[in-house]
Amino acid sequence: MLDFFTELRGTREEGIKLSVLSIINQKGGVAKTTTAVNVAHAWAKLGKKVLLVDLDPQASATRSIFGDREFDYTSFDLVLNQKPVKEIIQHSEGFGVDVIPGEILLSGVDIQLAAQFGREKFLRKSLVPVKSQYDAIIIDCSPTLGLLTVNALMASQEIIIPICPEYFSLKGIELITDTLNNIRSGLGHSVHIKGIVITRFKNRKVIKSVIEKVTQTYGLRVFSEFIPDNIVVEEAHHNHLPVAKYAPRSKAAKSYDALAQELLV
Amino acid sequence: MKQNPLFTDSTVTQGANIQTQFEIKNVTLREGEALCLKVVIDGVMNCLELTRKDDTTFIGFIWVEHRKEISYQFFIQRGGDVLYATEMKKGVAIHIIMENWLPVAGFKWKEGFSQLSTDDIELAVSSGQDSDKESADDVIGDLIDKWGL
Repeated sequence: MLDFFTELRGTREEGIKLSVLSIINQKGGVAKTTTAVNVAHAWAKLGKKVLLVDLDPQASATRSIFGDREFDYTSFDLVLNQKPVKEIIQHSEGFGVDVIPGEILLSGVDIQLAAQFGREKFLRKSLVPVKSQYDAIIIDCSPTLGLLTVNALMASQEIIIPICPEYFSLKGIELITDTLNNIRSGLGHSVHIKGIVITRFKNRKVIKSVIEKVTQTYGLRVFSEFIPDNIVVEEAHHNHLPVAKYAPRSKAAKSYDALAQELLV
Repeated sequence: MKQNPLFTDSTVTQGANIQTQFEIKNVTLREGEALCLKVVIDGVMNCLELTRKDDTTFIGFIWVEHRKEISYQFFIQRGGDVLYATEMKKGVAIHIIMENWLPVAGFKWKEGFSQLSTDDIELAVSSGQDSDKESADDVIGDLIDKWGL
């Protein structure tokens, strides 16, 4: 298990430690995908070689990057059919990253995986041939807890949890920590919570209260850069561009760049 | 025993031998104390002393059949006397069993660590006898003194 990760960590530049990072929250609408694609782009701008894996059946990251383009092979084929990863990877010039696209068929993967030997480690196994070629692998998870999410976590060293302060509940964080404990107990793999990203924020008073709850109850790190609720984020999605290219002077663009820097530490 | 099948290791068949790691957190030991684990498998008791993982976390390993039903209990002993113990819990053997240190108040013990049996650590919460009550009060006093409960 260690070998899978040791080849990836800090391979490209001394002092910078990137990893296989899942972006996870069982709650939808908390800007998981927006965070995934924009952090991936920000790291690419810093000269990192990044692979983004879209493991969400809604394929929002794929649509955000490639629009309605159809792909012969996706993460469905990677996880379920063990299609060679190199035949699935697509490159996005606009985002400067490699992408394993997602598709709606992923919604049925759990049923097909359920009885298979090694069902929880297919993604990790599939990524082995390319892992040493990347500085970081970012996995955009589905907003549900099932075998797909377990596969993402089994392939990850770390997770970040985006939360929307207006709809925040400690129960959501508890569900994620319980899941990680279950992964550790039942499957013998430890995943570190790198921190909480506050997204779609409007009101600093609400944020203060959320930070207090998260740090006091769980002792988790909350990244100091908050991502504002800004219309340019949605517009960038529809234009298949990272926010930093669509509206480079916007607060959201600057926030994602700063967050990407913060995630490197 | 309910267990989410999502977190069952599909690569280990039920009944295959695995090394289960027991981990207990938030424990502070005083001079001369040792943290131990009692595991009962098919009525047979196994005891082992746990090793320190970090300041307040201790771990130990036991080979056991995967998903075998077991009972386990953590306890602190000094010179063969059990000072504090957690509740006896039931579980299934998986890769790691994690607990937080939560000693039960008012248990009594028999002297002699080496002669411990499954009945050696027992709860005395329901006896209602004065002597037991005094004994329980003493232990609770110790717990408050030690753990700030």
